Amino acid sequence: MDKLMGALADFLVSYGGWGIVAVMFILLLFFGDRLLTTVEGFWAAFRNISSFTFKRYTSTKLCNQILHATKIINDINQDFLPYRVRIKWVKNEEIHSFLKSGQVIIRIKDDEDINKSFVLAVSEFVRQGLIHNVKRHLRDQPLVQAIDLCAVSKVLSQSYVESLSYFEKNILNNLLEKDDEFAKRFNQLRRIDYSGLFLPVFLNEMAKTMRSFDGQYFIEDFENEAKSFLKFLVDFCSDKHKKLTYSGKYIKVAFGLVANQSFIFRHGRDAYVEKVRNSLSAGAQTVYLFGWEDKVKIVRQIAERAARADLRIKKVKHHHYRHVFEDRSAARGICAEMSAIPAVSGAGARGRELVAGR
Amino acid sequence: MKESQIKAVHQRDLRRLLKSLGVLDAVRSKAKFCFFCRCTIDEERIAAVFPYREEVCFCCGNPECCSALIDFGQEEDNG
Repeated sequence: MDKLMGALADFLVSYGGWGIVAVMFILLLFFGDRLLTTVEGFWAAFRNISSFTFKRYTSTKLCNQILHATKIINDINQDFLPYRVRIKWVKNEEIHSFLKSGQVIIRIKDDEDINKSFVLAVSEFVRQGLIHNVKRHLRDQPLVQAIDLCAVSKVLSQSYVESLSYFEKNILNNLLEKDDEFAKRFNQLRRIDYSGLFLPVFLNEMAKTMRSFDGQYFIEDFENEAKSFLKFLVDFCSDKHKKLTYSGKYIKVAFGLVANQSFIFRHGRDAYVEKVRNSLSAGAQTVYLFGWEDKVKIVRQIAERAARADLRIKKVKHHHYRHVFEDRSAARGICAEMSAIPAVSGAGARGRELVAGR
Repeated sequence: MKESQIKAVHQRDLRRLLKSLGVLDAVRSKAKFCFFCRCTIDEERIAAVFPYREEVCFCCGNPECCSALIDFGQEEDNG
């Protein structure tokens, strides 16, 4: 440690100001998230001094928390939510541009009110940005609203746990009581979310489908397919004897569950690899493999072996989630996504993409 | 990198904002109402300001109205 400090001191003495810039750059690169938290902590200490410091504190806190939550969500598919959110503090607005903008201005008062303000801010953020290229092909308003509010719930649970209970008690419960169609859709999405299917499968497949229709104004039969796929996923969560494949016009997936210890013992991991390959041969574009607790490691191994054995698999991604069973008990779960659809991002397009996930 | 913008107004700047939108006098004289529950709006009660059909509209802090505002945002997107 002494040698390191000595070397650092020598570096700074030799390179002066540029040395400090280089050190700051390295700190930001490796400790960027923690620096943002430190900045938030700094403003928190002074938040009651003036409206300027309160605004800095609120902006930093809100942006940090949303950034943290959306990083986790965007790990699944970077098309889900805009990566950065900016709080624009307004003091005045030109009336014509305000009327044209269609944008809500949220009043933020003080810490007492902060949960309500944050819920409104996160709802607005999700409404603006969540899979916008998918939602414009959906005309079913209760379904779109249910997707948004399920996502709001996920963002709040990753960041603002205090605001989550305000959201559930005051906003979500009210909508569930008032609108049967919304309640039906929201409960369906929550059901599939408990099985790890909402973000990594349902939204992911819809977002992936949209990549091949980039720029197309409206796809008429996409909504029917989205609803049919949702029904399939709900049945998949519920039925004891499950149908393991969905083959629609746009979405073609297969599922596997690594759960039977005696099967693994008798046939080994390669039997599962063979099942993955057979699913791809039968027409699936993506195979999702699930496992809980002690099977999590086995699922990772099977996915990696399958990717090595079969060049059709262009991308393997691991999504970790908390599986909630019917009796409300929970277990650590993994959903391994093996996709035969080429990734469109620069790095992924050049070769096969193996993403470790969280 | 994609970016989303959320507009916010601090309580201390609310009066200035309302004046720039030309509604300060109406709010002070209690001539403006919450879009959802129709309760009288004042500077303390405003939770959000939004445009609708060429008018400046308000949402009060009532949780049911905040819920309706979120709901309303979806309908406007799909409408």
